[in-house]
Amino acid sequence: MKSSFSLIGEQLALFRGDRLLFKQCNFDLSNGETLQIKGENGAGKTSLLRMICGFLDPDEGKLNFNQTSLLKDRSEFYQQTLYLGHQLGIKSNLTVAENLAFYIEINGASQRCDISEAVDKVGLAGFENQLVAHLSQGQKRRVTLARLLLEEAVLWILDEPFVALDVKGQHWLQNTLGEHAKAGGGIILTSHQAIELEVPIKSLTLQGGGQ
Amino acid sequence: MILTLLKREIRLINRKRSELLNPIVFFILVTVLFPFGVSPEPALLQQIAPGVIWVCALLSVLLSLDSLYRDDFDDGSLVQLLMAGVAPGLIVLAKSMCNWLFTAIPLIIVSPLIGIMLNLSDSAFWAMVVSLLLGTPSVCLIAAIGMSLTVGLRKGGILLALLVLPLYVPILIFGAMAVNAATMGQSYSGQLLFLAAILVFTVSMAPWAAGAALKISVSE
Repeated sequence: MKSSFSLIGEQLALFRGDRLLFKQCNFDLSNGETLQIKGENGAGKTSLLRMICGFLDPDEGKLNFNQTSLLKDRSEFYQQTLYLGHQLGIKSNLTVAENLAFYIEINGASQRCDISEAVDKVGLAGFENQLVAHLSQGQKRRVTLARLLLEEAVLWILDEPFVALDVKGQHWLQNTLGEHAKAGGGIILTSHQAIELEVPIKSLTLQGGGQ
Repeated sequence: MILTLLKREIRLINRKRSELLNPIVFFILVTVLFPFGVSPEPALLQQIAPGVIWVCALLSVLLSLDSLYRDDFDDGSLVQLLMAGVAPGLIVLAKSMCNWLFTAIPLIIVSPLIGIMLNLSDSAFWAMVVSLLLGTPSVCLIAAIGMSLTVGLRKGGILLALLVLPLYVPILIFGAMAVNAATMGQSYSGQLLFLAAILVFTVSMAPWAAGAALKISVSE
């Protein structure tokens, strides 16, 4: 069973330069829930995710994780979350297995399955000892997705996880997301495509200059 | 945790060994050019040798920094490390240690050869090696602050030099003074102690300052 968590954003507003990206943005998320952030290009979807992850400060509003403000303390938040962004965060000079092993080790959390098993499941069987530099864009994406299977995190924060995946890969990812939600995990993701999970999906639409 | 970081850095450096050669080749080339440009007169060379060796060592270290930080920034590894809850100061410390081991140590190893070439007096060899050993870790750590501040900028090279070179002045003065004093047969322990004091100061302060800068750079 996943540990319980709650993430609440209240009246969040964010400016980039002097342009208002969004304001009065409210959401809440707890175990078993999925939140899809929608909006046009430039509406601030990635910025909202980066804000939740602590790489941008909101100009207004509150952000609480398990009743503590994320603006003050993030140690617990970092332990329980896994963020996959546009930049993959894998080194092209390391092999697939080395990249994954590093993240398991640095996170210090328990490992959910064997690296080879996870690599198999994301469809990269046989590529374990290949340098990431030799992989295609979609395969690199799959390497990062293998982290979802390996690391113990309750809350997944995914920025456009379906990009560069083929149809089979997209199908697999939807199933994986569904299983995670059913097991009590939380998911925040941005995506332009319609997602079908077996669990209900909350949605949050960002529009220029307000919600 | 720092061991995990170090292991990763060393593995990454190992995979692109050609880049390791850049600073050391730069160091040798520039010092070799001095006798041609200034004068092959042994007495004059002996006089300028400490300064030349120290200045070239400082610039070589600056040359080695970019890839160490920029790669992690560009491919998103830095964000992932911070999200894993790694203290930013620790990331800087691991990188600086690797930077020192793989850039500064080779420079120190070839420095006696350069010393012979520049007619450095025999009595100054130890002063040169020890002053470089004490001074270069501070050089790497101060460079890390500048690099952390400029890693988010597309063309941060000149800005990095502008930020960091003034901070190098005390290290350069005490380092070159120690070697000069040894050349003239005087005691040079005072200068070495100053270098050691600077080292203690940078080891305790620089990782934290650079870590904070790194966090700002990641947040743009």
